[in-house]
Amino acid sequence: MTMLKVISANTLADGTVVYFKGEGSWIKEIADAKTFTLDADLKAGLALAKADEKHDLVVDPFDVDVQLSKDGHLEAISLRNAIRAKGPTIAFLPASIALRS
Amino acid sequence: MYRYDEFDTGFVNERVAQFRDQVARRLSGELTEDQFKPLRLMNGVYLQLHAYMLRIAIPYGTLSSRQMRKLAFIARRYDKGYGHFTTRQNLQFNWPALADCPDILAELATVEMHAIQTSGNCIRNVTVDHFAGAAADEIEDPRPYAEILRQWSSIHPEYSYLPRKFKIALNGAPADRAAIQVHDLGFQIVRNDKGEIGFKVYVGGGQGRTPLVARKIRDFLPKADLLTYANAILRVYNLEGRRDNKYRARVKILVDDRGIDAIREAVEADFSLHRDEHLSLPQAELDRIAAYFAMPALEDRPARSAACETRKAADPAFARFMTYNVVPHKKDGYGIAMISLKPIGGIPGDATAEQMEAIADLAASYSHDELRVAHEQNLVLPHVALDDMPVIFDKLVEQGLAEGNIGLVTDIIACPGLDYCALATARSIPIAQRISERFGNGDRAAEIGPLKINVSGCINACGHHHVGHIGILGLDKKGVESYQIALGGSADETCEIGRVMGPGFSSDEIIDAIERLVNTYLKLRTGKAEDFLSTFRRVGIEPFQEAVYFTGANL
Repeated sequence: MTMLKVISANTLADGTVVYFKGEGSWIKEIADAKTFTLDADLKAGLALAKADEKHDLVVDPFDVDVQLSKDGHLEAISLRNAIRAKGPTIAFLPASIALRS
Repeated sequence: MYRYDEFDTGFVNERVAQFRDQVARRLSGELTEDQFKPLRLMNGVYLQLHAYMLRIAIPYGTLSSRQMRKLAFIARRYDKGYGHFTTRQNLQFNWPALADCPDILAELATVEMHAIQTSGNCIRNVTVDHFAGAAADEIEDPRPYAEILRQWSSIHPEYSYLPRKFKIALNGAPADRAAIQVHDLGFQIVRNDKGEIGFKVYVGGGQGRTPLVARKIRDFLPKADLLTYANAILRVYNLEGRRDNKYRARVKILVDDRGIDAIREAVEADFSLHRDEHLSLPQAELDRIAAYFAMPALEDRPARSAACETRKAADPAFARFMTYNVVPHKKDGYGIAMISLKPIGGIPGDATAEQMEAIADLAASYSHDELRVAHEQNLVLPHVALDDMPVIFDKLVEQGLAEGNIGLVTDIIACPGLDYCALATARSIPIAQRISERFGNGDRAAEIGPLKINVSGCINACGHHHVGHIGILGLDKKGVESYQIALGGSADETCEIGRVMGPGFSSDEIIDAIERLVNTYLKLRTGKAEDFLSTFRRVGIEPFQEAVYFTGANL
């Protein structure tokens, strides 16, 4: 089976979950992340991500196994990474704030 | 309540300034993450799945209304409008930005609060019985001793880099409400044959991946020797505890490996050597600190409240609140009112900023400005006139916090689990919510009677699953959540670690399995007076295994 991975991290400033798009570029949506199908490319991607860590954009970059959903979007395979991508699975916001957002 | 002295104020402000500088240096790149991580942890800042998390110490679970309002302010201004009360009487904010953390700590410092020693391998925030100073069955208020331990242990140079974290709990009544036997060090206030008050001392308890009930190390410790003896235990642990393997580094492992007799010998030797030195507590100092925790002046009232009784007769929900959420106070005509942070289907321990403010108002108006946080993730109004219970109940109804379910099947302890926590292996909050909804009918919960269900999302056991009457541990089995059940655990004075029942259950199966356990208990009990734990202790685990694994859907 062909490897399909993206790279994720948390932003240094507020811990937001982000995905690697390209050198110095991180985005919030996993669906738009840069994908890797070859080990060598992934290694090179992680090296760039680590460089961004040194530039204090993100913390602890790591690779995430993903797959294409039925409607063709990238999605994380493990529950842990799916929760990172989508947020808590519970209705955690107070009603007053949930209504505003 | 205790108030900071000049030293505390200066020290906390100094720490805020230091952390502000450290955060600025991290954000500018001057500090690497490896350099910064231990510094942020020393100030309660973790990095979780989605965001930073700030854990705030609530020393011995005691809050004033002013402090609670400050927490509400922080929730609204710097977080997402809510906070989470934890199983260590702390509060966690789940979404602060790193750059805001120094400002949050500065806000906390204005109300004598901080996040020091909520993380790291140090002596953590000391916890006590949440009814301290109010309970009818109390021998003596443990909070002055907790405060003395706080002062002694705060940034103690010898104990800032222990082999692992070290948790101390104190309890002041025969009923253990502080779970002292699952702490590294537990002090039980007792009265000896001569009528003197001192401590029975336990060491080496804990949950996590190696759950162990603490061993009694001393039958009676005079009050004056509290610090000398704690110091002796810490010195032995600091010297002998393992540092080569973090999973074998807690004092419970040392006690288990060496045996309690060998540890006692070493501790007593150190204690004898240093007794009557500088750590002995002068009575005048004990009295001075105890005075800060004196019970407020409560006016005399009739033992029976007509207003309360009339409302109970007319309103089943209020009657249930009085039965399960209100416990006897030292003084006639008063009660200790527990506010359940376990509304049916809610998130255990969560409170919105609005709820915090409403509760602060209740404390100011009806409980002499005092609040407590229970390690079961509920809040407490410790000094309430029985006559005021109806109005408090009505105000709690407005906030969705009037559920009369303390100690019942829906009063579930749950850690944040995989919805938030970077260490978790499975979700725990949704399991707690679904159990709560399944048993949400108050009459049914009352019929079932006392039953503690505790849920943890990983083996670190923040959800105290080892000591739940029914404990649920969420694991990751090849990428799928699996929930293991243990039965017969207890965190009270009859402390036991629960027995694992057998193979785990999927998320879809677990709620039905819990219901089968409950129904099995209802069939087996000799009567309503025999609660779940008593029935389990009488009949053993087999009938429950039989019911869950070998009957019904699992045949």
